[in-house]
Amino acid sequence: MAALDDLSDLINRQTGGNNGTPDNLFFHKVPRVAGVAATAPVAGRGCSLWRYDGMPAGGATPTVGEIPTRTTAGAVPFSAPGGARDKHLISAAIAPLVAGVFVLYDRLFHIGGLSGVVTTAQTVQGTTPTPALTRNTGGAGNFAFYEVYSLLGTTSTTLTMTYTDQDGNTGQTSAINIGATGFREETRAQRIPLAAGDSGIRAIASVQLTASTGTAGNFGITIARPLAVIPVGSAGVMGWRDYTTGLPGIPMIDPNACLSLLFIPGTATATELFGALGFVEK
Amino acid sequence: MALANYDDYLAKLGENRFADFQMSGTFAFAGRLCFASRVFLPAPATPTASVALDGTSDHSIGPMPAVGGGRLSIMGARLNPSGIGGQAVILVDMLNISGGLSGTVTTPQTTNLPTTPLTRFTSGEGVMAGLCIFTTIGNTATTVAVSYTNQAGTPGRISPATAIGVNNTGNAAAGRMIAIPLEAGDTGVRSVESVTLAGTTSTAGNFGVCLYKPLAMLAMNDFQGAQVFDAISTGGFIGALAEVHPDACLSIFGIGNVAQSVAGSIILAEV
Repeated sequence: MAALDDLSDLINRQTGGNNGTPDNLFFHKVPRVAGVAATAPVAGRGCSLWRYDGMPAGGATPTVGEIPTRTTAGAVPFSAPGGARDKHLISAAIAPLVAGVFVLYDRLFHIGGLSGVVTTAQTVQGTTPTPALTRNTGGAGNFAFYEVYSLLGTTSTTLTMTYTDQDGNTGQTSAINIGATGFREETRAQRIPLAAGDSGIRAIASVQLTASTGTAGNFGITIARPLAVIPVGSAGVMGWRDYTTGLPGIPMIDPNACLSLLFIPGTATATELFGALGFVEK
Repeated sequence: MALANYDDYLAKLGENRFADFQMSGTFAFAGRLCFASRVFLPAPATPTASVALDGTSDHSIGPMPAVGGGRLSIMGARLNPSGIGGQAVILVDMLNISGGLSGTVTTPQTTNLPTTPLTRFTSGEGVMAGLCIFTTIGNTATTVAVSYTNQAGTPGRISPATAIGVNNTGNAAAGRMIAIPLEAGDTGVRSVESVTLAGTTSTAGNFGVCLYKPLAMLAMNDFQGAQVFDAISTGGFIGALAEVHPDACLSIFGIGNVAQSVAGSIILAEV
């Protein structure tokens, strides 16, 4: 792991010196999923842009537990660093149709095909994590959310997650509501809180619903590592982060990271957006 | 060559070489991707073929600095909005552009297509496709898909349907650049062969296909007055020090909080 020395080192690499391999990666999303108008999100609540059409194309609904990477369809497809160099994210920007907060994250694990009517434990990675995380494996800072792939039922119930925390403690549990209006629609993404004292997730064994939501639908569980938070105060204005001068410093991007976006919209409108990520290598 | 250090950067910034632009009117529609060259002074003619663009085109800002053996780089910008309202100013290299497509034809349209071969970024990697509206199309919502060749040279790729038509959502207005989504696994566009509307928009209008490579984004968010950006100290400049091809048709796209015009300069240097 090699940090950038100073501003001169950064300038040198941004202009191609020392194998800096400057890379400005642009992307866009349109408010559609597989060619069909996307379900309107809920203002102030999470929306997954994983399956939104655009460049890159929308990702697929996972059918089994898997470790997505930068080459998985749906990921923002950056180039892996060359040689023994690391990839550094130096800036990020998004100009959307809808104001809100965007979270750029590394999609570490995802699974779909879970049911909104099954009230027994539904396996996520199992008690022996399969597949186990391959990035940020210690779990510190990782978070989990449920993601609705097709409409769940109108009955609100409780989802309990059984997981291994950042210290390797198994059998940790936490709960969140699921089902009913605002918590059942396609692309809804609701963060699952952690038990008191925990600050990350190493694995998720299972999730269990207290009662049926009334409709099986299809939902999944995603483990993510946040990389950047990009607030956009007004529609049509560009939110940006410059990590040379701003917190949290210059994040290092795993060479296999599956970059994707969560969105917390200010209004209940499916967004389109145009964005950019700036990288250098060292 | 690369800049060795901060002092080198300051020296290059101090050369103050720039390319200007001004607009006779506003970007077409708030909140949506638009292309500005339609209202550049002088304004380019609506293309009647697929035209390869370079720095001599009316779609390009200018004058572009001549380059020797070095790397033309974006150092900063001076931007002046016409009124109150934020704007994401997107610097792009416009690679080619066509016109003559109709908002009422529902069979595959090939007028002025396929797009002329790329002369820069020739594989298509990272190249985006957009539908550029020159004359307002109709007020009926429908969808559009394009047949394209991807960055690997695979023809017959079909984009997922995306919205077109209905002026009050900005999908019909002159000046709009409707972004084309790609098929799974694709990372760019080498050419577009045809465009198909699922239904009529009710007015023919005139639109075409533009292939472009984004280079930088500038956050003109102070809402009023002249705004200055440099690559290091100001922030709000993603793509700082990005390389510009010596033959680039450097142009302006934007997404705004309101429809407004912008004038300014892009500061360039050979490093």
